[in-house]
Amino acid sequence: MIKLIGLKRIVVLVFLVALNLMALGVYLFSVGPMLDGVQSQKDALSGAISGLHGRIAGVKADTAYMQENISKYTALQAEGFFLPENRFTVKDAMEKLRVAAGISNFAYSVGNVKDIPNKDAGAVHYKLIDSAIGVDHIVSPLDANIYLLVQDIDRSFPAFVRLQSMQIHRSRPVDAQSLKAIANGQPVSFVDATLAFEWIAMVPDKPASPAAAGGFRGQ
Amino acid sequence: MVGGEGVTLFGPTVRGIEREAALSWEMPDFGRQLAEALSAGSRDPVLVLFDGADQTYRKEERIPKLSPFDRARYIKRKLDQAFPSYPVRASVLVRPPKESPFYLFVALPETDRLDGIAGDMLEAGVPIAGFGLLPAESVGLVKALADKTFDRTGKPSRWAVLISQHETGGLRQVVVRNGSLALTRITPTSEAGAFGPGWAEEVVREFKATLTYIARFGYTAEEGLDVMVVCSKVEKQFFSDKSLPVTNFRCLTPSEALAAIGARAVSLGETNFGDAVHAAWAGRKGALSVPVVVPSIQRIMVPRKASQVMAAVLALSLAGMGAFIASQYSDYLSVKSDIGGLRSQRDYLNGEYARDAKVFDAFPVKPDVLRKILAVRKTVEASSIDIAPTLNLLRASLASDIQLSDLSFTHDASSVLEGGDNGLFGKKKSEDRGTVKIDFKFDITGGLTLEQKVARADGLVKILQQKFPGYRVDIVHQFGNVSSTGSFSGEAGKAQNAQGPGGAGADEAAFEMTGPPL
Repeated sequence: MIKLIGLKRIVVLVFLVALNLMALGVYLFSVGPMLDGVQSQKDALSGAISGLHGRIAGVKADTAYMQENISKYTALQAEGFFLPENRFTVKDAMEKLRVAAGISNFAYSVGNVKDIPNKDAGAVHYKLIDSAIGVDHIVSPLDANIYLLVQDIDRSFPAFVRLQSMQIHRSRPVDAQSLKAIANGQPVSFVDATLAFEWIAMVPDKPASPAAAGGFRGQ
Repeated sequence: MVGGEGVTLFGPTVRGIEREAALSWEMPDFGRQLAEALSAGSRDPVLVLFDGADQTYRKEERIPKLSPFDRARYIKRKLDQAFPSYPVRASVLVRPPKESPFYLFVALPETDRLDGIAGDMLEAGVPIAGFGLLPAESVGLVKALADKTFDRTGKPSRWAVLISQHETGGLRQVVVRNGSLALTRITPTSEAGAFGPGWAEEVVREFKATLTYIARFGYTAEEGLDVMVVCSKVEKQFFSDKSLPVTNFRCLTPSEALAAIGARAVSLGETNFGDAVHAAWAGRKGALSVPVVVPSIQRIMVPRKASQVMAAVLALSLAGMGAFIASQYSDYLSVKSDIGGLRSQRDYLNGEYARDAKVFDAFPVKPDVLRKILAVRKTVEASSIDIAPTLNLLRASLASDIQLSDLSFTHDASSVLEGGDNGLFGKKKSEDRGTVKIDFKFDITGGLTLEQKVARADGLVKILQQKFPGYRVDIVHQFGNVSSTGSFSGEAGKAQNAQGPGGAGADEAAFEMTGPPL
């Protein structure tokens, strides 16, 4: 076979095969892995940079949102929306209301704190709490005073108060007897009214202290 | 070139074809000398051009229409039938212009001399280009020389003959008709020698014999016959074109013939031999017209050709891989330099993120918490309404003679306070602000009759429905507990006390209104 093909030719062939194998080896064991390595590094860096761009954009967007809306949060904080409905504040608030509405007297009650299921609050581990406020035995000459009380109650209470129901009943006619009693300085009420409110706040979702959560009555 | 008397070796040089050796069969160490001559020459592949006497040609015209596979088997069978005792055979399809195609069969015995030459080429280690028969390979040479030598403006001759004396032995005549081989003859060198007037007479004599042969193949003077003789300048003077009954006659020196086909020869001198012309023509062809397979030569040619091809493939592969590796390395360097820049960019972005995060972390709450808190606040606010517009509208809807005795206002917002994303497609129920229910009792002053009060009450329903769109207005209790179209009972004969306070007409009507907050 060597003579048939020629020794020189065989040597050349073997040399070419060896060179080819060497070239293949250089690629497979050196250049290829090196290129794969730096390419992996580059891909990792590119991925990290992409991620950072995303995170920076997210942080910037969140920061812009916060800067735009944090004042609303602090306002809610200031008005006591996150406070746990301390019953000891109710007395002062009711007195202020009475005076501002021009009402002589009324009785009020505050019910037990109840939880109101709310998905948004629950999503951030907060809950809505609600205390029912009842106002009755209102001694008021006119129904206009009662409307004033209804309008003012949200401003006077911490957190948030909403009207649930209002019943007004004309209890006595405007007659000579009533007018005489008024002239004598006696408190005369021409209307009876019963008001029901809901006092709502948003507090962290953990047990509140019993003193702040119970119901009570006052005048 | 291999002939009856020996072998002549021609090799290519920059300046043209060169006669490198001429060896007689009678030489005692012919084989060694041939091997040495082959080794000493250029390393180009060797083409063996056979010019011996023992080559046979046959024309096969009746070829049926067959598929290519069947045709090959048919031809092989025909070759076996035509040349049963000739082991070396070949065929070629010839398509002369304006004539039916035919097969040219060639055959020659595998002589010891050819085996010897194969052995010498094996010793020399030279690559082998192939084995061909001089007459079959020189058909194109005859036509090319005739076209170049003679005027073709008139009616061209259909027949052409090239006559040349060969150093390898013999006077070769190649007769071509319409561009295809018609006849070939080789005449051994006579006692007159290979040059001189005696040789010229020999040429004329042998040509005249050839004329009788081709006359049998249909040659007539009308068809035209061009004759070219390759000879030296000295021998030219011995020929007279008038002595031959041909259309055109010309003597060409080997140099003139080579020039006519665009070739050159080195150190040719004033030779009378035409070997160089045939060698130059065959050597320039890309492929043999009739490649002949001689087993002993084929045994050497194929592996050497294969090794050549393999070497070329490996060299190409090496070049390709080299280029690929270079490109990959270049990519590596480029990516590596990119990495530096990317690292700097990443570090910069990390710094920027740290700064932004510091600002962000200073806030008392996280954005998602704030979003939810504000959503809750919005929900809670939606649960509350200002009753003043509703009461004002109610007051405006009631006439001045209507005196309210009871008023009840209820706002049910329990569904509103649940909040959150609602609905399959995330549509919020933010438009839902609960339900308002207003109940009121009233009397109408002015001393109206019951019937009038009932009518007023019915009319008030319509007014309230107009003023409070979307509200349902119902009369819970009509004056006198009657309606203008409903059931009614009473007594006849008793005093009608429907008018004035305290009478039967002084009772109240009770209304109920239900609808969304205004």
